[in-house]
Amino acid sequence: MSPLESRALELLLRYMSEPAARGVLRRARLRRPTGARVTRASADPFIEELVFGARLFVDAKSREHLEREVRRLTVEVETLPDHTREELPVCDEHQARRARMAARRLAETAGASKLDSLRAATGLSELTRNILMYAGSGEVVVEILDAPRRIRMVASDRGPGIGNLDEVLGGEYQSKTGLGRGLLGTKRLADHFEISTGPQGTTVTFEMKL
Amino acid sequence: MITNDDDIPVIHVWDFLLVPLQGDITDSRAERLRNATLAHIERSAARSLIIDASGLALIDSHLCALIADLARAAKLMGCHTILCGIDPKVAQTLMEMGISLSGIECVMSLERAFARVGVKHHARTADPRKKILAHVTGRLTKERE
Repeated sequence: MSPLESRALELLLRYMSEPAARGVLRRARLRRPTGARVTRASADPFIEELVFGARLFVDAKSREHLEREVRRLTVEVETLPDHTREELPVCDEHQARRARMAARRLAETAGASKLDSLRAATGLSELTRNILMYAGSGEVVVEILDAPRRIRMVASDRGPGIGNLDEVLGGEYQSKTGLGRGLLGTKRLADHFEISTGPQGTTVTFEMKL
Repeated sequence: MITNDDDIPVIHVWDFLLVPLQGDITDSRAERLRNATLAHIERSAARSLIIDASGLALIDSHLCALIADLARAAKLMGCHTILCGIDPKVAQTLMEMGISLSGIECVMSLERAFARVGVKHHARTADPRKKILAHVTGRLTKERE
């Protein structure tokens, strides 16, 4: 259930029984907002359907009050927690695991195929490993963007930078621990790939169409 | 014989070892598993090692390298490694990344891996060995966070 939906349910429960509230919500869900971000415009049909459905279950007196409250949800929409973006610290491998799971979850909620979600998670896994191995710690920002619908993952650290970037991306580098193909492989998965590296740290931007 | 090493079991069946990988494995866990498996091979003098990857959530370059490492080390000890159950989505992702698992025998399913190490399947309903195996593998449910 999205944050908007759980807010709506919470509100309906104050006016009607739980089965009735869930019924109204289920019906309104058919017109639930689509797209990466819930905006006022995309939430509108959903809220109108809620108002319409709720009418059947409340008496005339509280109807007006309920309608006003439900409509107020539209205003709340913009302050709801944004579930298309996550910022995650990467200081140990458990956090790295959490990050790749988040990438997978965000991709899946955005409607990506299982394969694309796995691609995103695998790509991020490589990036977080590089952070842990070469910089010790860093952070990852995963977000879903529209037009075209895509996932963007930005992995950044304040490590010593990648000195032999051309060699790594050329596929000539063989690291002791991996196949030396992590970064190159990630690049191959991405539709858009960017690295800026220097003595102040490294930032890798990975974008993949969903 | 089942031995737990931080949840990843190494199962000794006749003259082979079975390692079912499940869920999302962290690097240090994978490394501990590699060491534990090699120690097991030495102790049990197993001829084959079957790694079942069907329960894995994700395989990246590091896990690939680790499995390849394990297989090479096992080979030096006279133990042949068979990898089975790679998910088609995982296979496609690895291929796109340009990661290959050269030097490891891969088969599609656990059944084929068993066949490869000489376990014959008899289509009798009450095969106690099959029952035990189903029980053991059934218990290893996917790890979820």
